[in-house]
Amino acid sequence: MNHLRRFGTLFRKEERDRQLSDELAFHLEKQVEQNLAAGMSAEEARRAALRAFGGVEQIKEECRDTWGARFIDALLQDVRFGLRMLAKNPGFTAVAVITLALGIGANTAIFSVVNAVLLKPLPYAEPDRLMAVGSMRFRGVPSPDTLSYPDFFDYRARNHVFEHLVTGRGTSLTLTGYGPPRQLHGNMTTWDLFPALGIAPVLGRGFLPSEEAAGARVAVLSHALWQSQFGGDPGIVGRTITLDRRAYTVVGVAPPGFAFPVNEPCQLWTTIAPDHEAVPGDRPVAEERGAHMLTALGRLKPGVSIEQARADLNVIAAALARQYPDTNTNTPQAWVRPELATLVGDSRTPLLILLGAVGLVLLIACANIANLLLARAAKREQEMAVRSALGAKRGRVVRQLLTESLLLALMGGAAGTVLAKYALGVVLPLGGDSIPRLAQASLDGRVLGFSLLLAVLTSLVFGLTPALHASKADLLSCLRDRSRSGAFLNNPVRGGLVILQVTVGLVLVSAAGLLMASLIRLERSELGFKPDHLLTFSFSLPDTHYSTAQQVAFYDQMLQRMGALPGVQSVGGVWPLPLGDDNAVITFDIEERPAGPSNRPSARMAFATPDYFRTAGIPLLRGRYFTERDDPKSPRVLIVNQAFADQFFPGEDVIGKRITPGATAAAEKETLHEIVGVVGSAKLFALDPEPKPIYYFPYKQLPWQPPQVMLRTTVPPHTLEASARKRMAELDPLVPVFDVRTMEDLLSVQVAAPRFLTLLLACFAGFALLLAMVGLYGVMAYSVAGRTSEIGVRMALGAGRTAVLAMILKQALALLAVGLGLGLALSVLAGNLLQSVLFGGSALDPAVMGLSVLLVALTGLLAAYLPARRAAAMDPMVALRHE
Amino acid sequence: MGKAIDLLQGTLDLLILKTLALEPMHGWGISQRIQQISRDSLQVQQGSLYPALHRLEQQGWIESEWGASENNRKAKYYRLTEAGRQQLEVETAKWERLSVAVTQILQTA
Repeated sequence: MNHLRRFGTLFRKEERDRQLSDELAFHLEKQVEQNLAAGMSAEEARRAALRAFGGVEQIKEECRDTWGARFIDALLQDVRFGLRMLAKNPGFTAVAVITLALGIGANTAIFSVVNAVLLKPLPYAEPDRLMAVGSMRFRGVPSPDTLSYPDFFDYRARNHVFEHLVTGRGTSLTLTGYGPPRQLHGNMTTWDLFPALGIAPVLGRGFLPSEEAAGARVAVLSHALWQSQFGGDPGIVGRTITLDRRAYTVVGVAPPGFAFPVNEPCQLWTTIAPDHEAVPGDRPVAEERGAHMLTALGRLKPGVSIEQARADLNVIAAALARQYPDTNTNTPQAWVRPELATLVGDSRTPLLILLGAVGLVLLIACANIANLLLARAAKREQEMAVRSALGAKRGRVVRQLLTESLLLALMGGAAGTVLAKYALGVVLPLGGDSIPRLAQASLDGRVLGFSLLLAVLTSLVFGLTPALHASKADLLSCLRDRSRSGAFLNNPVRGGLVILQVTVGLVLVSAAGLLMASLIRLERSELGFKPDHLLTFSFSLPDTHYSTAQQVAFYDQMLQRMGALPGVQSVGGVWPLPLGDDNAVITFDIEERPAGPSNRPSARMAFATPDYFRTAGIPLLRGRYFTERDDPKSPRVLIVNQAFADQFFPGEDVIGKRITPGATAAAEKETLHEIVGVVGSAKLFALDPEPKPIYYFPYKQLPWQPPQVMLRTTVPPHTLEASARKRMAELDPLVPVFDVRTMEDLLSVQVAAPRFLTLLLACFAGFALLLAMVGLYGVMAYSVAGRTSEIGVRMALGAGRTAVLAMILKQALALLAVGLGLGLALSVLAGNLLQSVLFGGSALDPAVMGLSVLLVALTGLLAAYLPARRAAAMDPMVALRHE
Repeated sequence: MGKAIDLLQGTLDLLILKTLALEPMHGWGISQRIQQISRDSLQVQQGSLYPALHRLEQQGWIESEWGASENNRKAKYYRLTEAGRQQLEVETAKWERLSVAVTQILQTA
């Protein structure tokens, strides 16, 4: 009552000042009254009163001083006292600080990652105005799709909502003339890339609109490339360099740290001019309205909303669908999404799962510490009660306990932040490239602030319970009831905390279990080919020096030479490489069921050399493999995989069927291809639940580019890298070999993200289980200690050891049972949340749930059993004498 | 000079506590009572009472409540707390011991 009123005035300085003025005014009035009554005049009475009083303002100031000083003094006193108490119990303090350090440290580390990946804005000007743009495919289920060049140009010309709309695609160019040939990774973009991003080159300029046209060859170098390859030469602008044996003019250098696309290490940028040029016998790809391959990036005009952009682009898409029914009927709409969301979208769910999991670990840690503090407060309860009786204000007692909690939390937080730094160093390399922007995770100001906030919150969470409990200590009942502490296991708060720990522990363990099962399924899933002992690499042959025929001849020679290498069992070539980064989906027309251009089916296509299938370990199911005789002069053939046969010719014999693929070699019309073989279905991406339909061309009949090379080796594959490079150099020293990787490496990369998530979650589940076990053990041990005399009495009265054991365990089992029950229910909920990141399988996997419950139950039983056993082994005489 | 002020502060605190031990009172009343009890021999600036009152309140020896005075005006009443009562006994005992010691010294000299 009084406390509450005072509490209110405490925090309003004007209120306190006003009251002070009133108080002094009252005094002065009374003195004036007294003076008047003594006969003074009004004037004299006032003056005398003031003289007797002293300087009013000075007095007020002195009063105010007492307020501030007291508060800080009391605070410092609390802090000193708190530190002393913590030092007096080094064991407890150490356990609490370590527990907190682990909990807060893990949270800080994960938050750093979330911050760097999901929250940090893109490193461009006004990044929230940057939107990703594509077309929306309406065939069956509406799904986002890419754009073709002509569609992009129309969007660019006709839109009213974007300041700039740019697009581009990756490219790989060989730099010669500056030491050994070097393969550079680059991006071909439309002219206004730099203005769209709001970034200015640090030297020279970006591109001009005219430089998009066929024939232009200009480049902007990355800062790192300029330093490493060209020595940071300030005269680089205007110089000519040779890329893919063509002359390119360097027009600018990008600022240090500039990256576009954001997670690709591009070394240079050039324009889309080559795509405007006709490859001999074929149309330029920039004129193919049906070739979907691009995503566009747009900067919204100021004041334009994303909905307006969508509406505007949809109008254009609809108009294009009407104008070009053959190619655009299926894409009558566009999609617009913020660029950042598009970039990191896939990582969002896994990271949020991790954040949730690590938060639960912290919760368990807090429950543990709350229990520890309660136990300790119980010991000090008598002391507290006496102090209360002697007049220590309840508020003061609470404040003191809270200060101790805060000190503990701050120490834990500091230790945790240091731990997080080291943890990041260990964990980040595991994630590798699987999560965009992961490498940029670090402890920055925002993260440290988060860590501090966590520390304060956790101290409140675990400090408040015992503080409030202890402050209610009733001296009389405390001194009276000696065996009161034994009731602690029955104390609903402590029991509740244990139940909380068991519940959360089970949820984490089952979540980890689900992810582990999913990972095992993923790693065991049939790829459809044999990924062991395979070395892969790529190379390119510039059009300027190799005609198509020469390319094919070169490839033949290369295959022969590679095949002759010692340690090589067989050689094959394919594009795209399974588990690589490429993919092409092209429509085709089935002879028996022709369809209009917009209704044709589509599937993944590939082209391969005859020995590819054998080299990859893909079995032949029907018909035949390709042979050397499948060349431009012979009938066109195709091989399809089983998935293709099942999807497009269900129940029929596909051999002999003919289709007209949309893909053609240069200067050829679309023509019928006969299916001559069916092979096993191989996955292109490891995370595909099942292999998708693929149809394969013989390389010689579709010589688009040299296929990627695959060597099956009898020795460890990476040992052959040097010899392979040598062989290639013997054929043409200016042809670089790049992307040399074993198939197993490629598989690792593709499963890196699920592995990362599973590993971390398993760690957290392990922590949680350990903490819950320690928590239960602590509570049980304490309870047993408190019931020592009771146990002694029972044993003296004839209870056997087993009976005592049962009696003690009963309570623990009750807590466990409730915790497991709640935990199971929550695990089911959690499983549903996880569904999107699981690879096949059900989120309600009974085997996983069952094992998890078993694990937690056994751990809990063990934790309870140890102190119970000790209790049952007590000597009754000793127990009885125990007070 | 510092010592004298400390002594005065301690004495003033004691007097305030003693005064309030009898009954709750507002600042004016305490001031009057001290003058009465000490038979006007203690000349203390009336105003210096108030920092002492506020300090004692911060320390928890006294607590305050706004109430109505004799002629129905709003006044801040102070009251001794349990802790304050304890403190009073402790301080009184200390004071008495001190005065006995001083008296003895003066007598022997």
